[in-house]
Amino acid sequence: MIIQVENLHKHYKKQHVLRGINMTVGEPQIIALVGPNGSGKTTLLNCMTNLLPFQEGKIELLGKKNTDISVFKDVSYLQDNRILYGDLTGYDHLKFVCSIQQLPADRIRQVTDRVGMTAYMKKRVRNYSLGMKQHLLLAMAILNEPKLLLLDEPLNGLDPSSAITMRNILLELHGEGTTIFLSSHNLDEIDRLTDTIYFMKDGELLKESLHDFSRNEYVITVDESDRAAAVLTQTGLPYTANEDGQIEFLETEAPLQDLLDQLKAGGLTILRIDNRKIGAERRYQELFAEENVR
Amino acid sequence: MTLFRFELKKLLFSKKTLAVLAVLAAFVILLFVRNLTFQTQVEKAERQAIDAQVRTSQANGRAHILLLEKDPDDEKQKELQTVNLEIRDPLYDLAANFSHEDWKHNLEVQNGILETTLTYKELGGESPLSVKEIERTIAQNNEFLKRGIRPEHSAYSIAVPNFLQQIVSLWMYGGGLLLVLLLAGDTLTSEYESQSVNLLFTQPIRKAQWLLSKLGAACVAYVLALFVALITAAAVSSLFGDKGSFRYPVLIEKDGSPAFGNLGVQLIEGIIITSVLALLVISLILLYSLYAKKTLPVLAAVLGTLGAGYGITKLFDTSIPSWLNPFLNLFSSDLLHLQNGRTWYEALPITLVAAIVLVIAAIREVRKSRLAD
Repeated sequence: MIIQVENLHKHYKKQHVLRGINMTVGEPQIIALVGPNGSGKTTLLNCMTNLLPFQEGKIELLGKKNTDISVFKDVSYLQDNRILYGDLTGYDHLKFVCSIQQLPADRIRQVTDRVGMTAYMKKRVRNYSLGMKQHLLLAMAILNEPKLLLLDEPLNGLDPSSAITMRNILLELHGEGTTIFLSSHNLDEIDRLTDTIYFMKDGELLKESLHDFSRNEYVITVDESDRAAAVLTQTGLPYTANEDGQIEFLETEAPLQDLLDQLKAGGLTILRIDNRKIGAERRYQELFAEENVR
Repeated sequence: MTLFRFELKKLLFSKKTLAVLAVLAAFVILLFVRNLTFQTQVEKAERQAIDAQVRTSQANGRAHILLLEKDPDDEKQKELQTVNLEIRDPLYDLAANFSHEDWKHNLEVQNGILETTLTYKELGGESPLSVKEIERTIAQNNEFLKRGIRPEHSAYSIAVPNFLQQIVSLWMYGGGLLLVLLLAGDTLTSEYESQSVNLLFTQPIRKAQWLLSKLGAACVAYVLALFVALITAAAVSSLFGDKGSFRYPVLIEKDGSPAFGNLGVQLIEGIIITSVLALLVISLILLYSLYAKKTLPVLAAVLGTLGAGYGITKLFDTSIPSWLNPFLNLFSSDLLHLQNGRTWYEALPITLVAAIVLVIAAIREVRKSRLAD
């Protein structure tokens, strides 16, 4: 088992931050952890890596208890860039991790080339930009070729090209058999990385695969939108007319072809059909509708 | 060793450490410049001291005249007047022909005057110097003459060994411990405050090993600061001061009697005493840091502990055996100068034991340590 979390409860004084979290990951995959601020994402990651104690439950990573320090031979945790030492160079950080993990010294060069930070690795970290720091964190995290890579907001503050580099490396690592578990607010990037998402709300976990929501939703544009409503109302087919006069239609409720036939029969010309796949953002909006209203 | 090297690099290459060491070197140089500037004042002060003795003798002489006018047959006053003249005449001579360079002559004359002053006091005459002070000064002057070493001003010397002693004294009277607090006061807490501890706690590292690396790095930083202070002092005094002698006699009260040690030996003793105390303070910092995880409360707790230790030592110095008081040498060089029934190293074992106990307690605590919850 790569990740096994059983009935995890965590309290901060009187606040119940994690409420009976259960999670099992058996196969290498990319998993995203999504939730509003304060929902417990970072706390869950910190408990998983034994940085925070918890009151009840059990956590195992790669079949070992998370309190066993040997776990970190194969598990890496990419955290906030505050963990970096401003007075040291990027190379100092990498050399330290390399020595602690007992890795060959040439591994540093391989990783910095891969991440694209070789040019500035000898500079002091206090002179790094946010993106450079994030690259260094990623380089440190992948130095030991982890079987499990945990990442807390890895895309925060990254410019588009850095975000693309980060995403590509994560996809490559996944291709090499690394399980990636990341928390992020960047739902577009999550869509590009995975469709397996754990949504967190008030310390509780809701696992969803967006495959399960792979209902096809179409947005159909016709030449006479006012008449289209009249035609469809007569047929009884479920639809919604949006603000732009377009027809929104869920195929799970009726075949698309039926709707198209009815529109054509009504003498309408179909100008455009857009297939709108359910993504993380859409699903997030549905799940956290109350928070959004607030 | 990897962890120790990393901790050492973090500590030594931090802007704070480099700034502290630079300020320390600058302070030592400024102190030497002050001593150098005051060299003319040293001779002036010696002359003023002789003038003061002359004035005392003159005042005593006038008092004897007045008393003898009242009672011309007062044999005691006659005798005191005679002895006072034996003090005053060489003093006049010394004042008239004083030469700072002719130190041997000055000491010999002064010893003659002091011995006569002793007789004068025995006869009931008054002198601002106590018998003990006079005896010690005579013994010390004899020691200078015997060793052929010129006496140095206690506060403004530019001779290498004496300037080093000035630095070591400042080190003993709190300077060394202040540097420990500046260099290592936040060695653990800064990791918790910045959360950089997370990097270390998510590596295959034993927390106890991490703590010992911190201890080692803090000790090295302390030794480095000590070297910076001593090497700077030795360098400036060698270049711009006098050679001096490490055999310079240092007065020690040993079992009630004056004895003399070498300044060189006392320098080493002072460094050992302060370094063991520094280890105790580093251990206190480590243990408190694991509980408080914030720099200011830790520094306050360490200073509070040291203050309490110093207070207890001052209040109950005689009732607590030296070998049971780890704070005996705190802000004090008493054991180097007053060895009445005790030796200079007597409090060292208990200080070391206390430091070791604190480190063991810190190791136990760090094993449970995680992020501030």
